[in-house]
Amino acid sequence: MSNASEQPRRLTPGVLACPACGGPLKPDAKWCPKCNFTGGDSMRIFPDAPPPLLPILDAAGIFKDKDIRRIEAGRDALRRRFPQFKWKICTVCLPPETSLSLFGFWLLNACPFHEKETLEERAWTVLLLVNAVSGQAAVVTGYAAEPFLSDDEWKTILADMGEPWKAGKTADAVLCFFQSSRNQLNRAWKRFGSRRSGK
Amino acid sequence: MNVMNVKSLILLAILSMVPALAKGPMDFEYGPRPPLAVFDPDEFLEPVMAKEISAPLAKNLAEEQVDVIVVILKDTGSAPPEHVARQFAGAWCRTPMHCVVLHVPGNADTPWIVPAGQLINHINSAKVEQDVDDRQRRARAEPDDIHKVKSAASEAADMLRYWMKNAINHSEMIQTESLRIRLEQESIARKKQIALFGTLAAIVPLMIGLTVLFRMIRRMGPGYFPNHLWQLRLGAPHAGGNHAVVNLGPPPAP
Repeated sequence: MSNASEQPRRLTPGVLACPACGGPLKPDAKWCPKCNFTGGDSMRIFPDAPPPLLPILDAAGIFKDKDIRRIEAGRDALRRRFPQFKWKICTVCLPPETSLSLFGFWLLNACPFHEKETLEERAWTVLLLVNAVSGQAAVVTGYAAEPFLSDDEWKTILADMGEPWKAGKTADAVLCFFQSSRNQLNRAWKRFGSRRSGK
Repeated sequence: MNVMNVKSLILLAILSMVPALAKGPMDFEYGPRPPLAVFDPDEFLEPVMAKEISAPLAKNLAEEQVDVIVVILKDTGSAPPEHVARQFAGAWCRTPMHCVVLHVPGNADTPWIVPAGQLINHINSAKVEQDVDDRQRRARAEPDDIHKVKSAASEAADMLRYWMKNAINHSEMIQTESLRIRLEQESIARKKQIALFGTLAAIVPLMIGLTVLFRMIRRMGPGYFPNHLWQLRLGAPHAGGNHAVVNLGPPPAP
C-alpha cells in the first residue's frame, strides 16, 4: 500500500515495536511474536465506540481556550514547514496501568475520519497522546509518517515536554513538542526530503 | 687609353655629379636669406625705403619671433604667386609662425600675403583665410606699389602677432585641457580600481550572506518527504503501532 506517487519505494523503518508489549516486530508482522497481539485485540481491549479523531481532542480538559489557540498556531506553523504531516493532540484520563501506546494505536486505527480527512492524511498523522492521570505521553504515527523518525527520536521529543509539563504549563509542553518535532524533522528532511511535494 | 684610365674617367664623372644630386635647401634659386627683411633683387624700391620697411620687421623677428619677409619680384612666371611665396618661406623662414609678402609690381592682384609655419595649424583655417583675405584686400586698395608693400608688410606682421598669441594661448589651452582630461582619466581609473577591489572584497561576505539566506529560506520553506510503500502490520489499517512512551512527571494540578 502506498499513497499516490509515481515511483514509490519501500523505506526501511527503524526498530518496530509492539504497541502492547514493546517487543520487536517485523514490518509485515501479522501478530506480535512475543505476545501474539494483533490489531483486532485492541478492539477487545477498548470496546467503547471511538470518537472522531479531532485535531485537538482535550478529553482531560487540561487546556484553556487561550491554550488551544496557541497550540493551533504552533501546529499551523509546523504544518507550513512540513505540509504532509497531520498533527493530532489528544489528552485523556486513563487509569495509570493503561498502555498509552496501545490506546493510541487503537485510536489511530479505530477512530472514524474527521470531516474531510482522507486515507492518506490518516497515514501521515502523528498522534500525541497525553494521559493527564499518569503524566505519561506517547506518540503514535501512521504508516506514511513512520519511517522518518524512530521511536528513540520520538522519545527525545517527548522528553522535551517534561520541563513545562512539570511547571504546569501544559500548552507550553505541547508547543515544546512541536518545536522539538520540527528540529528532528529538519534533520530527517536533510536525509530524506526535497522541495517538491512529489504529487 | 687603357682600362684603368676609363675607370678613372667614369669615377671622376660620378664624383662630379654628386654635388648636383645633393642639392639641399641652401641651394634655393634666390640664394641664402638676405640680411634685410626685404628681398628686392631688381631694386624696385629705393634702398632707404627697403630699410625703412625692413626695420620694424626685423625688430618683430628679434623680439617676438614673428618673421615677415617681403619679396618683390618683377614676375613669377607660370608659377602661382602663393606657390612662389611658400618656396621663399620654406627656404628662408625657421620660426614656428612666419609670413611671406610677395609683391609683383604691375600685377593687378598684388600683393599676396602667404602665412606658413607649424603654429598655423593651431588656428582655425577659415579664420586664417578670412584674415588673409581682409588684409590683402586692404593692402591692394593702396594707391601705389610702395604703399601696397608697406601696408601688406604691416598687416602681415600684425596678423602674425595676433595669431601667435592666439595660437600659443590655444596651445596652452590644449595642454591644460589635456592635463585636465588626463587627471580626470586617472581619477576615473583610480575609482574603477577602488570599485573593483571593493566589489571583490564585498563578494565574499555577500556569498556568505547569500548562503546563509539560502539555507534560512530552505529551512523555512515547506519541506516534503518522499512517498513510499508500506506494509500493514498487525492487521491495522492506518498505523502499525510503536512504543514511544515517556513519563513527563506528575500530572498538573487541577
